[in-house]
Amino acid sequence: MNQNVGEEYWLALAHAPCLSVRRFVRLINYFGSPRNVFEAGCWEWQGLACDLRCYLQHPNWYAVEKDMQWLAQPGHHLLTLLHQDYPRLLREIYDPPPLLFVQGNCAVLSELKKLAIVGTRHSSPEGEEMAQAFAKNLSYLGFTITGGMRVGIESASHWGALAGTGKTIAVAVRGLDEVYPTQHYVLAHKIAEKGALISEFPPGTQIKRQHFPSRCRIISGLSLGTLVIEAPKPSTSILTVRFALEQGREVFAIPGSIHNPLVKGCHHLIKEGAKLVETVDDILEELQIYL
Amino acid sequence: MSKAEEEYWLALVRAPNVGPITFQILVKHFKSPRGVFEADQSEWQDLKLKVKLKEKLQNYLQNPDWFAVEKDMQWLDKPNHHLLTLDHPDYPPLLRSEKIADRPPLLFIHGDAALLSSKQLAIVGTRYPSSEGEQTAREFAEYLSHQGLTITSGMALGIDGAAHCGALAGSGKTIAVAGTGLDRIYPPQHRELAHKIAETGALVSELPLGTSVQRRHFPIRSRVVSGLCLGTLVVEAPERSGALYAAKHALKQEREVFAIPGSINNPLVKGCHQLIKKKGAKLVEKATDILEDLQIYRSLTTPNKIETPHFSPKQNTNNEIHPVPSSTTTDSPASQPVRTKPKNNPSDLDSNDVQLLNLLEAGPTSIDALVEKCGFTAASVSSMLLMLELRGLVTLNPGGLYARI
Repeated sequence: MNQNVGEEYWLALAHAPCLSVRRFVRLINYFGSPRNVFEAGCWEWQGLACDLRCYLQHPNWYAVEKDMQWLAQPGHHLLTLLHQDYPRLLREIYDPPPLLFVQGNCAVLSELKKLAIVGTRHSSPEGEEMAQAFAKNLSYLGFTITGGMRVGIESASHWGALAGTGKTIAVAVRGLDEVYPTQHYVLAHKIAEKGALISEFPPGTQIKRQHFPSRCRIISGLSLGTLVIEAPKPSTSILTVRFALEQGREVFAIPGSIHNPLVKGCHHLIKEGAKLVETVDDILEELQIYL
Repeated sequence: MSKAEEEYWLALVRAPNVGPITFQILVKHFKSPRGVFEADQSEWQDLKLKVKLKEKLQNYLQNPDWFAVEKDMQWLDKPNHHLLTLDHPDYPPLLRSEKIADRPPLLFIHGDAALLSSKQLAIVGTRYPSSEGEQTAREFAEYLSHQGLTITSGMALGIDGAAHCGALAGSGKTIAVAGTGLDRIYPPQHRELAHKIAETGALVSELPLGTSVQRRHFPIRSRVVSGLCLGTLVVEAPERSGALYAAKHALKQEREVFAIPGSINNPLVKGCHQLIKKKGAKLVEKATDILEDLQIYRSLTTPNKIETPHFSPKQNTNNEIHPVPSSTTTDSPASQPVRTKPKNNPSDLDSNDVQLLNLLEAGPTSIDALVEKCGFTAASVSSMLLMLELRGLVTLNPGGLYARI
């Protein structure tokens, strides 16, 4: 029960308006815990923005109540930044999400061997086949496949991992109460069964434009490396790679014909120093030091 | 150099068991090939060579193959036939590099000998390419030759041949390094190609005339191909392909290696991928990647795609490559996207328009045929034609055929 009380304050702070992830973490570092933030009182809040001070006086307990209801359902979990199951690699990044809502198997998250597979939404059948094969083989080798459950390459890689050991993590772009994109309803349920669906947003959060890049940093942050299969040059998957590089993670790319516009981004990455990948062994070779 | 001196070079190169390295040791010790023939016993004793080899060599020197040398000299008398010895001022400087210990002492040349000192790029690949790979080689060679690079290759079937064809379609400056003596042509399918290369480019061989096709000559030939060039581009090469020898030699000679990637399911590009992964070869998507890397152009603002090459309006008549001054780079065709707007001055056509007009020279042509011939997209061709029509340079005939006025 005690831990739950703590959770409530985490959730209450998560609903604060205009509170960036970085400031959330700074507040916790300063006060020790979200509960202390709320209990510190007006004198301590003087340095904070006006909006935030107002909110701290009148937290949105109604929303927190709804979150708690969602968490009470089987298979639903909450991981706070200080929780022991919180993914270690994700905690190391510059702006780790303070809260992770999890639907599925929490144990999958704490494992180290994770690899992100990302790519374009407008993939070719060949690319999807590759994504599926790589994900399946890597999952048999003990890797957990992370991705954004987007249409195209990413959904193919999730399916591939499910066909393997089933260890896969999908980072959602909205609250976990609904599936986005909607056509991946079945996939999301399968992932929740064997792997985990996670989101940094409380259930009920609607999609916003800025959620997409924000999700990318989690995908790359969870993983030892990011494998790019098919990405035309300006692509969201390239954004994931940018985060991976900022976070000091490995980047892998699969090449293709120079006449194929879908792999322009991959070629660009290889030129910039990403590792060219032909087989799963190329990835293992590079990640050996972590395993 | 007097003729007689050349004859000694030719005679010594035919000595048994004397490869390029031994040849150089001998020349260094005895100062010149003539010195080798005229040396006395005491000089031979200082020479650090295996005793058996010395004996064999001295035996040969007693009775050199002057008959063959005579035939060589007859061949050299013919027009366009040249011989470059290692100490000749025209011997290609890149090939003379200290990095190449086994540089060929002699080069037989059929064609333009000056071309050997020009800036070159090797394009190599498998003998059994896909049609796509062949087309890529041709397009790269054509575009790069227009940019002033000489295309060098081994005249083998497949990618090598396609690269030569492309260069011939471009500026015509191409060098084929043969794996046989220059009095023979191998493979025989490339007889016609070899003649064309000799006309505008050069056929080169380090092997004396009369040398027949031998398996071992082909890997050795690769070191000359890569040694002549600033860089080597591997278009399609499966694992353990012979084409990879050129890349291997290029790495040893500290030259650039470029490789064109492909699908990971395509066995024909496994060797290229290996080069990128393990050997640090540069991945190449478009021809401008190579130019940028070799710093032929200082700044390329908008690199264009290889599918739509742009041809320089004035082709370099000499073999030197002039870096485009930065002030004109912005106007240079290579730095402009396909849909270039006509310039204010109507008499000043850009190279794409000129190319289109040249294609129309042949007679009224449909837009589809133009698209196929020039390689630009249909949209850009139609907009270019419209601009030309508005300027009164082109007219639209009945049946959708465009013609020059």
